[in-house]
Amino acid sequence: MSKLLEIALGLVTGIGGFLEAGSLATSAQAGAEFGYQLIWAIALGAICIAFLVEMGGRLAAVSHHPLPDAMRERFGIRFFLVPLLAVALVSFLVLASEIGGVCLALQFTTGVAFRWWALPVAAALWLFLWKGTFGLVEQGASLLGLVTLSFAAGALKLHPALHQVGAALLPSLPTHDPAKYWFMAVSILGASVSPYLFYFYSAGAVEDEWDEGYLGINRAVAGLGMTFGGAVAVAVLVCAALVLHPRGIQVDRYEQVPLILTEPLGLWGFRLFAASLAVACFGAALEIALLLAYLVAQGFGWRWGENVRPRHAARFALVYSAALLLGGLVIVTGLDPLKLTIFSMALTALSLPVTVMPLLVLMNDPDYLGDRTNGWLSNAAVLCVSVLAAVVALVTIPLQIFGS
Amino acid sequence: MELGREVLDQQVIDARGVAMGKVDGVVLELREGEPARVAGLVIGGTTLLWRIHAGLARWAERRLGGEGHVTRIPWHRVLKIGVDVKVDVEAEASPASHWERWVRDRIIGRIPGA
Amino acid sequence: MGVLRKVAVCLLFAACGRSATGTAERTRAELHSWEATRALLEQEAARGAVPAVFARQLRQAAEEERRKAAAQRERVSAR
Repeated sequence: MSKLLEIALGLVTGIGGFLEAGSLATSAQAGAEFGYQLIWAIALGAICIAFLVEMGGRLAAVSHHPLPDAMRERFGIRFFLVPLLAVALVSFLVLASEIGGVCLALQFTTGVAFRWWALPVAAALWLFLWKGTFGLVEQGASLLGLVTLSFAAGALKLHPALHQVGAALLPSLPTHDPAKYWFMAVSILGASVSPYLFYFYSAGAVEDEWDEGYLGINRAVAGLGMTFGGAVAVAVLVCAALVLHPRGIQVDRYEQVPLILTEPLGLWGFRLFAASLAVACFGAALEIALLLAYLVAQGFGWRWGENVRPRHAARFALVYSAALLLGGLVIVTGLDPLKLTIFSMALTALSLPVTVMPLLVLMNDPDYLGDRTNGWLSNAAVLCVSVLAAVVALVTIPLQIFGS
Repeated sequence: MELGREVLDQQVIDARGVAMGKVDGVVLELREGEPARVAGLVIGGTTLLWRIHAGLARWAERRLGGEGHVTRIPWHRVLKIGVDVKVDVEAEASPASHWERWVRDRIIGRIPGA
Repeated sequence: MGVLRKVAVCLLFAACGRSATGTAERTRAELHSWEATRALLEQEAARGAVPAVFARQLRQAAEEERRKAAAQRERVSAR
């Protein structure tokens, strides 16, 4: 495939893959509550995840080790178990949120309560992974994910003052309710800098058999993909800022969120919203289920691969099957998907130092990267954001729990 | 050769290029008056548990009545150590693939389309 | 460094606990939010921008939340 086509495909993956239950919910909440003010959090998150995704790809291309495999090798079993469990737990909660997102989209269009959709959706996801290939998952989900561009259409139709949007790219202090402001900032960071994104991207680079020749493509895909993806999240925020914020509407239930697209785009806005929610969450759920399987299989040296038939990687298939079943069961309980989503985003932010540190150490190890180790900028950017996110999360999460 | 860095926890690939597990343990042969020599690799069973928590490993061995399904690969069968550890053994024939086969035969293999 | 100091100040500010007036204000904001949601919904439904099956769900959610917020306000003012 020509390099340009690869970059285009990567771009599409970035756009389609960035928005999911977490970024949709957090961006909508932030726009409703604080107008444009939290756009900087999305931008910061997008920059951070761009660096991390690039690193994951570089590690795979140069060392030919997927991240979980390299982590166990480099740190030994004891120090591998800690990030493994952290990433697995957090990712599982996000998986349940994504399944919840698909179920909500189905509830909105059919009127059948979301919990009844949980097991059918889990089964559909499972079938996709069971019969599909890695290419199908990667490209199918991302091409369909282009429907999320409808938020960009909605935002443009609402005629935002672009200079105000631009100004909000710089951090600012809240004009009211600082505890909520910082909690939302942290949730946005958790939604953007999800470990599953760069772990999955790294596994994908190995499945696609990347080598050092792909480093340029890797950088382009990471940078452009996450930038455009972040722009879609900003579009969601802008829609909420222009539809909900002026009316004093806060987002406390997911049912309120479709209004941000129906206002500018009418009934088509509603349909596009439901489609975007369903597709974005479905794609994310596939990736996370696969990621959990990669984590365990690669960490313990089992046979793995989405391109092989399940019987040739039986334990790998067992892990993603079990993950989807359990995730579905969480939603069947009727747990509020919005609360679950926001909570898992905050937890993601809190656990960032633990989940990011192994990758950072590996990226500075010449045994794995040769002369392609990290520059000071990559290290600094990622380190700062992870530590900052965790510290703010540590303070705001208890406040949010005890305050409400 | 630094055993900890270059051998332990490395991916093991069998004679057919199939993933066989990770090097969970290394067996050293202690000799009088001479440096210790690597006798072989150990994959699977309770080996890993011993490195995580000795108490847990002891409990597991009591429950299992032994070490579980362990694969010992003598050093002379280790072909190459690089990105992974290549060995001259067949995964399918060894205890290392016991659980993989069990899951395949009892669970995954029973589902249509596997 | 200046940003870090400002962040620390904000966190301290936020950490200074929640007062009864804070809770009353939040409840008022929630009530207003749901009343406004209901108004926007009816506006959208009137022009056919939302299907009936969804409008029903949002109406129900709005009613539930509005009732919860009103009950909360009763509790706060009874203190």
